[in-house]
Amino acid sequence: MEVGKARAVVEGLREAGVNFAVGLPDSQFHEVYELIAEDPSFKYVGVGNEAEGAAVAMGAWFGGKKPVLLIATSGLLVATFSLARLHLKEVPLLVVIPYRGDLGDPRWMGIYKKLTEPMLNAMDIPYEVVKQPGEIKKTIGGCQACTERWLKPVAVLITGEALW
Amino acid sequence: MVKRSELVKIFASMVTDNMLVVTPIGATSNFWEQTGRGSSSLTSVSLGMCTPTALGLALALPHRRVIALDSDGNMILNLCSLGTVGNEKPRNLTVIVFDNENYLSGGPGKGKPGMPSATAGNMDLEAVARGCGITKATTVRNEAEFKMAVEKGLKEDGPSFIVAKVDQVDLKEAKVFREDRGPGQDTRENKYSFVRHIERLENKTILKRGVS
Repeated sequence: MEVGKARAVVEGLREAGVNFAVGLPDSQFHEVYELIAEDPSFKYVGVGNEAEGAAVAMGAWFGGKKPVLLIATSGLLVATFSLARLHLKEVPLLVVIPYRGDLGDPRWMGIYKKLTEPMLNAMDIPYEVVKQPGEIKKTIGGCQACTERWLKPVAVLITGEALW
Repeated sequence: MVKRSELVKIFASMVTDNMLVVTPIGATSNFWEQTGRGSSSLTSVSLGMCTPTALGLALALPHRRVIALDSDGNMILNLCSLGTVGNEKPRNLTVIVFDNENYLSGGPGKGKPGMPSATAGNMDLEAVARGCGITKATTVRNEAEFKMAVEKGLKEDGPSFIVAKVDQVDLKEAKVFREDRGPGQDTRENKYSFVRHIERLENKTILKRGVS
């Protein structure tokens, strides 16, 4: 991942007012985690699985923070139960995911392409797919505004075309 | 051994309104709601989410005491959260685990333990917590030990971790709750009352009015 593109993700989050990041590193998003962990604008919490991460983010929201959950596409599957509960409670949470299995992916990860969007639809979690680097910041900002207004998790899927 | 319902009552007498309590789905939430503190707490937090939610809350509000009233089954599901607590080391977090060594106490009204959890076998949650770097970890087996551990846990810098071994069956109480749970709160109502409680305590707006 180019550092400039990682910066666009981090700047997009900062400009959207996000100040609490919970993550479980993904190889395709490594630079984002590094930048966020070093950035004093964010409290970064590294977790052991993505379901735990969604819960930590929920707690932070109750404490007045604006959280983001930074997870892998595979991690979305692990986080499903916790996200479903956040949805039921109507707790806002921005979820940012490097989208494996889409165009630009260096390896064949088609299984994630098959599962991710149908699963988000089934969970009634709105999402946007970002395919161009220039769309990263604007999409993150828009989705953060929506999660706050709609009181439900909203996801941003950033494809290989935009990231690599 | 001691009953979880009795320990919850003791705990309720020791916490103040300006402390924030998170309880997991299951009997602990029912007992906690019966103390009249449910609407100023986050209750019935789903499986495995109690301690991590309390951790997020504690990190967001480092000046305020946060307590997770967790249970063995919930804790085991997301055991890695102890590793996160051990690394983040929030000084304001106290985790209490009511450990009845089984799932669902056999179900309300059945009068027998449910299927055993790992703590019925070899798992020692205190040792796990210590291994995760939570040095203030202890196991208690009666009311006096519980009271002393909670008193210490609420007074000293944390994170602290208290495993309270409790009776395997909550039979009588669970039956009462099934038949007379009172008005209670559903999950959304509880969210609003808890967030408004925090807004009052913190004198800030978390959830804007009229956004949904």
